[in-house]
Amino acid sequence: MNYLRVYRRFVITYMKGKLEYNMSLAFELIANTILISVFFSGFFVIFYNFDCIGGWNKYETLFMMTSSWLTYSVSCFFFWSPMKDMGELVRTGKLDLYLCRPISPMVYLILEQFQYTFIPRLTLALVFWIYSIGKIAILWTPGAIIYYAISMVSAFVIYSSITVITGSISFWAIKSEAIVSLLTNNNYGLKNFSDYPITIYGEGTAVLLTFVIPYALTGYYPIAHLLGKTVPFPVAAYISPVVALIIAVISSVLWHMGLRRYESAN
Amino acid sequence: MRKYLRYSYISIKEYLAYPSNILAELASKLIYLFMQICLWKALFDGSTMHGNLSYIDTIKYVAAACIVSIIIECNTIDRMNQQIRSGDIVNDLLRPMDFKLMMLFKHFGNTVIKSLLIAVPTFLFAIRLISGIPFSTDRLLWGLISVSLAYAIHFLYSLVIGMLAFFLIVTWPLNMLLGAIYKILSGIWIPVTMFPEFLYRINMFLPFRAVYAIPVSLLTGSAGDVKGSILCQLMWLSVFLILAEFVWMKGYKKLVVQGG
Repeated sequence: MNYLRVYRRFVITYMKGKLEYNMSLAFELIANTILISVFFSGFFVIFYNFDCIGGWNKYETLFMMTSSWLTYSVSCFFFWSPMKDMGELVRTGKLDLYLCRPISPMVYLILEQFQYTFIPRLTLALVFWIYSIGKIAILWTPGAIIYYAISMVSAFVIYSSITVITGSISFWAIKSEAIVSLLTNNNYGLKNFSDYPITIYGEGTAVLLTFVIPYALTGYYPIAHLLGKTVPFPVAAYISPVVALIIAVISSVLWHMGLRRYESAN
Repeated sequence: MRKYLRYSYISIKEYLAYPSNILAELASKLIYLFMQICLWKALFDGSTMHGNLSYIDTIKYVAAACIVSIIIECNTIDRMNQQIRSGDIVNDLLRPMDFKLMMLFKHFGNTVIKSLLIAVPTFLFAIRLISGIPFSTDRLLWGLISVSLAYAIHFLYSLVIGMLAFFLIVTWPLNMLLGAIYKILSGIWIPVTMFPEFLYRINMFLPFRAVYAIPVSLLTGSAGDVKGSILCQLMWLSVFLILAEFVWMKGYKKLVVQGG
């Protein structure tokens, strides 16, 4: 409960700071909305020309994509900005500030910011999620709902852990920005591979996205399982909670190792 | 001329100073190309196509667009924004040279080194990925002329947008917004001939397609009207030439450098 109070204070302070520059907040939100709208327009242009991809029709693909985008936006809402800035904080030694607070540095980093720029992504993903859910053939039995809910929570954990891992790398490699953008860049990031059925990329990529960087577990496998599609590794439909747990532990260990290794800038 | 070429040389050295960045950039291009080819192959595979671009034309288009983008894209917007915001621009303004030409030559140097280190490997990768797709060289000359025009248009466009930092305090939302519109309307992602009628019509009156859609379809031989395409590019080139001059004059007067 205490954290919630702290968070409220932080959000108020953060937003006050942002609102000092009058138009910029609105402009940032508009720019983000258009950026995400463009992604969806592209999606609809593609499906204006084609019926299906890798055996998935438009609504099935859209449902998979928005499911994983929803968890991704929520995860980014908390973890993206602090982890993106990690490299900078380590280089300049500003991380010192976070180490001498009465709450743990990770909690502090998450609480002190409010990434409203992810709200357009979240909202649009939600809109298209609702739009697609009515048009797909999933029988929402209680079992299916529980399965879906567990998968989405696991997806949130997987996304967050990957973000934390990339952030922790900055404790060792001086420049982790390149790795971050190779994973999450909107144009070429590996994450984009999970927007479409992974079978279209061939065997090697499927292995990579299932077992090495488990982006496919965040959307593809759970939804494919619910839709009754054949998948490259059937067992992967059931392992997301376990993988989420493992990767969360890895990220936590890496993060603490990094913190211990950190010895200010000068 | 010699002194401008020095700037190209400097920007080449700047680029070579960070080998890890070069590797990351190459990786990003290869990944993107791979993703695009797989996506479009899968779309044509087992799906009926309602549009008017064939499988072979689409794959060629997508691969060529990726390679052309390496040559055309530039960081002029960021450079301008940064120089204007930090005030470093005064150092360059003091020199007895034309600032815009200086930017062009910096970009040119960047292009030369990127063509060698990024475009060539990507091209080889593309050939491997799409082996078996016939490629005709009939319109190669027109295609190359068109790519050069697109290069100039894109540079001037970036210059104009970059110079908006003279008038704005925060530039990244605008860059993000224009970048998004650019991504879809220029045809670098999805061939513009696949657009629904209304979007295609709107796009006819916008400059974005002159940068990727026109040169790439000329290169890959899927464009019908060669003269019309080149004329359209020439028109946008002159529009941006005038616009760049105009915004420069306005911005130059407005420029206030803190402590300068």
